[in-house]
Amino acid sequence: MASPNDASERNSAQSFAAAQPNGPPSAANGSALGDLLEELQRLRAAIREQRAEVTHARRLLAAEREPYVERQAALRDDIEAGRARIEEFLTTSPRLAHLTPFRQAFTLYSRCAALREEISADAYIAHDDIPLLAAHRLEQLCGGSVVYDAAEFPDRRERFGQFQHVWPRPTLDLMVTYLAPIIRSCRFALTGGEPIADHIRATFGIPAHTIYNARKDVFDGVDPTIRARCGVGPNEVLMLYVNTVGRASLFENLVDGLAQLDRRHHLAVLGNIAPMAPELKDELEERARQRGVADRLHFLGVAPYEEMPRIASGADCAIVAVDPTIKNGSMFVHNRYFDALAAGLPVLSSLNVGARQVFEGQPFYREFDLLCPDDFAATVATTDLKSIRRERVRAFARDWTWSREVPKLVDLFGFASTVTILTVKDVARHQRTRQFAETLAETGIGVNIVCRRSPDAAEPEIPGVNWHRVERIY
Amino acid sequence: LTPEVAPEVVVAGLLEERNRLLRALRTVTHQLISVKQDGERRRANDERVLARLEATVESIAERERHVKSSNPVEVAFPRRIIAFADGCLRLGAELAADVYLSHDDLPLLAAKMLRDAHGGRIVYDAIEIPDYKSRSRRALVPEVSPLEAFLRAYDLGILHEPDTIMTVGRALESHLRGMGFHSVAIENYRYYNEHRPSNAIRLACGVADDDVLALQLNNVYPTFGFETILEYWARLPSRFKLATLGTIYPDHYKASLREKASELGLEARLTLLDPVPYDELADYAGGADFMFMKRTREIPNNDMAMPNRVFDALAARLPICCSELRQIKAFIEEQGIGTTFDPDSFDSFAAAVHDVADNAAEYRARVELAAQRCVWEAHDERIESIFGAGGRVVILGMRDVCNNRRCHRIADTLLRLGGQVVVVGPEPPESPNPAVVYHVVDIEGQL
Repeated sequence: MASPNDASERNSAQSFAAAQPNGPPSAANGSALGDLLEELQRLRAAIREQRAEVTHARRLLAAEREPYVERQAALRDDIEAGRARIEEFLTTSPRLAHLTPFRQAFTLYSRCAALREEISADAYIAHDDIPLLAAHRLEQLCGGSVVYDAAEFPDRRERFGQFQHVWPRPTLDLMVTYLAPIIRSCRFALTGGEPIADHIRATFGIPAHTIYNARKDVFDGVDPTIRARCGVGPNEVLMLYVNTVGRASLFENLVDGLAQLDRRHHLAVLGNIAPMAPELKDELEERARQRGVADRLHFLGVAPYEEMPRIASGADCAIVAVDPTIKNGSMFVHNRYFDALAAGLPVLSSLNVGARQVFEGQPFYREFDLLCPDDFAATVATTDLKSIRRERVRAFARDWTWSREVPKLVDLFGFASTVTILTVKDVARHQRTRQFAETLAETGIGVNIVCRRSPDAAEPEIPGVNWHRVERIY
Repeated sequence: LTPEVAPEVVVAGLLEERNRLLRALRTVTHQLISVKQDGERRRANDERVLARLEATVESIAERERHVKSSNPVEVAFPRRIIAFADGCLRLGAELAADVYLSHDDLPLLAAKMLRDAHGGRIVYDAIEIPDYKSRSRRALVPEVSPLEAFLRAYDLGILHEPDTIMTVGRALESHLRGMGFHSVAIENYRYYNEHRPSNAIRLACGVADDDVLALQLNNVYPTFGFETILEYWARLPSRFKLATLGTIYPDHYKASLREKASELGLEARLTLLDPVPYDELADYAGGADFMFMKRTREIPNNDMAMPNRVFDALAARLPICCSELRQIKAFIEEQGIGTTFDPDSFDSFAAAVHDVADNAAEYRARVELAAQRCVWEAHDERIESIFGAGGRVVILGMRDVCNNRRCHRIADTLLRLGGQVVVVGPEPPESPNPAVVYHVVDIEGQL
C-alpha cells in the first residue's frame, strides 16, 4: 500500500510532467504561462501540506515514545535502587559487612583487568590498600610498576576502630597477611607522615616518601561569622574542632577538659558525627549538660572543603584530636593540620609524632594528652591564644602549601609517561587523589583515574585526566 | 509581470522557481519518509533497550535474593578463612597448644592467631601445591581470577609463618624449596598390611584367570579424559579388561561412559564398580592384575602430588601403570613397581600396559618389598622430630579433617608418642578416636 508521502511525491511529479509536455512554455503561449503559475501554487500547497505532515508525524512519534521513555527511566531507577540496596546490604549486614574490603578489591580487580588496554601505564598508584590487588594484576598484565599511596597507616589494626571494631578479629589479620607481599613488591610508597614512611621502610623494605596533604591556598582574612553562630564575643575563646567526630576522637575528654576551663572558653565542631556512631552526638550533649558546659559546646555541621579555611578563620585556635594509642592517629599528619594552617589558626594537637616533625619549634603549635582531660584544660589555660600573631601562622602556612609537595611528586614520577590512579573512594571527596592527578597531568604525564562514581557530589573536572568510573563497587 | 522585463526572462524565472519548489518538495517528502523510518528504528531500539533494562533489573533482583539468602561466592575464601579463624579464637584456651598443625594452607591464619594468643609453634602440612590455580583445570587458562590472585598473595604472606613445613612427596618438597621454604616429606603411606587378595573383583567383573584385569582406583569425573582411555583400550587385545573402583559423577556421566564403551565394543571388557569400604579396599583390589591411573599432567598439582591411591595399590600389592607425572613416575621408578606412559601416544600406552602385564611376577615381587618399606610406621622418627614427643597438638583443617586418613594417622602417631591431640574441623568425626578431642567449627565459624 502506498504511503501518503509516496502519493505526494507522485502528485508533484505528475504536476511537473504536466508542465513539461511541450517543452518550455513560450511568451506567446499565455495559457501555458498560466498553467505554470498554477503549478507553482500547487507545488507550494503540496510543500505546506507535506511540512504539516512531517510536524504531525514528529509529534505522533514523540507521543508514541513517551511511554517507552518513561518506562526506561523507571527501569533505570529500579536498577540504581537495586544496586544501592545490594551495596547497602553487603556493607551493613553483620554477616557480610566485614568482607567489604575484599569485595571491593575483587570488583576493582575485575574491572581493571577488563579495562587493561585503556588504563595500562608506567605506574599504577593504589590509593590506600584496597586497590593494591588490582594494581598488582595490571603490573603483571601490562608491565609498569605499582606505587602504594599509603594514605593511612598500612596496618588496618592501627587505624580508627569505627568500622573495624565490629568485624571478626581475623578480618584485619587476613588483610595484613595478603597485602604484605604485594606492598613488598611495590616500586615505592607514598605516605602522609614521616613516621609512617619509616614504618613502611622497616616493615616492607621498600622506599617510602612523604607527600603531605597540604592545601593549595591560605585564607588571608578573618571571617567573624562563626563567632556569631556560636554566640562568642571577641574577648571569649573559640576553640574549633574541624573533623568528623567518631569514637576515636575521644571527644568526651575534650568536653571534660572544657568543663575545667573558665566560661570564656567555647568548643565548636565543624564536621559530622561518624555515621557508624550516630548516637555519639546525644551522648556528648548529655555529657556537656552534666558538666554544665552545654551552652559552650556547639555542633555546627560540616563545611565544604573549599569554604572551610574562611569559615574557620574566625576561631581562636584549631583542636586536632585523635586517639594517640592508634598509630594512624599519632603518626599521620592529617588534613586537619593543613586546614588549620590555611585558616591561619594556632594548633592544639593530641600527641602526633608526624605533626611534631612538621611544626617543630613553632610557637603556634602545642600538644596535649588527649587521654587526660586535665592536660587538655591546662594546655589551653596556659596558652595565650589571643596573643599568637595570625601573620606568623600564615607565613608558615604559605611555606606549607601543596606547591611545596609538587616538585617531590614530579620528581618521584619522572620515570613515568603515563600514570593510572586506582581508588575505591569517591574522588569528588578526596583531595589527595585529585591533587595528585592535577599535578601529574600539569607536568604532561598522561593520567587515568579508575574510581567509583560519586553518588551525590559534583564530579571534579581535571584537564588532561581520563576518567574510568566504576558505577558501584560491591 | 512588468513591462520592463522580457517575457523570456519571466518564464525562465518562473521555471527556476518551479525547480526550486520541486526540490523543496522532494526534500520535505524525504524528511517525512525519514521521520517515519526513524520512528520505526527508534521503536525497535526502544524495545531493545527496554528488554535489556528489564533483564538487568531481573539479574539485579536475582543477585539481591542470592546475596541476602546465601554467601557471595566472590568472597567465599576470605569469608571461610576469617570464619574458621574466628571460630578457633572463640574456643579460647581449649586450643592452647604446643603445636598447631595446619592441614593445607587456608587454616594457617587461624594457626598464626592461636600462636599469637597462646604461644607454641606452627606446622604447615602442604598436602597440595600452595596455589589454588595450579590445583585444577583452571591451571590451563591464562586468566587469573580475583580469588586466585588473592589466594596467591595470601600464600605468599602466610607461608613465612610456619615454624616447620611438612609435605607429601619429593616433588612438592622441591617446589617448596623453589619458593624458598624447607620442608620434610611425610608420604601418605598406609599402615603395614598382610596381603590377603580376594577373588571377588574378578568375579564381579566376569574376568577369567588368564585375562588381565587393570583397576582404575580413582573417582572418575568428566574432566578426567576417560573417553580417550576407552578408545585406547578398545585397541588392546581382548584379554585386557578394565574396571573402575570409585565414584563416577555426575550420574549422567556414568551412563555416557557405558554408551561410549558400547560404541567401542567394550561392554564385556569394562566394569564400573561401586566403591568399597576403605578397610576392605586392599583385599578387594588385590584380585586385579595392576593399577591403572591417568591424570592431566598439565595441571601442576597432579604432576607433584603423591595421591593415596598409589599407596592403596601397594597395600593391594598391585604394580602400577600410570600416565607420566613427575612425582609418581619418580616413585614408581625408584621402587621398580611399574611403568609410565605418554597419555598422548597410544603406542606408549600399549607398551606400558603390555610391560606390566608381561612382567607381572617381577613387578609383584618388588611391590611386596615396597609395601613393607613404605609404611606409616616408618615415619615415627620424622614425626617426632617435627612435633616433639608428649606435647599437645591442635590439628586445624577447613576440609573434613576429622575424617581425613592422613590426619588420623598423624594423630595416632602423636598419641603413641605420648602426646595429646585436638582436632578442629568443619564436620564431626564418623568414627571418633576416644583419645582425641574434637571441635567442630563450621564454614560460618559457628561452634
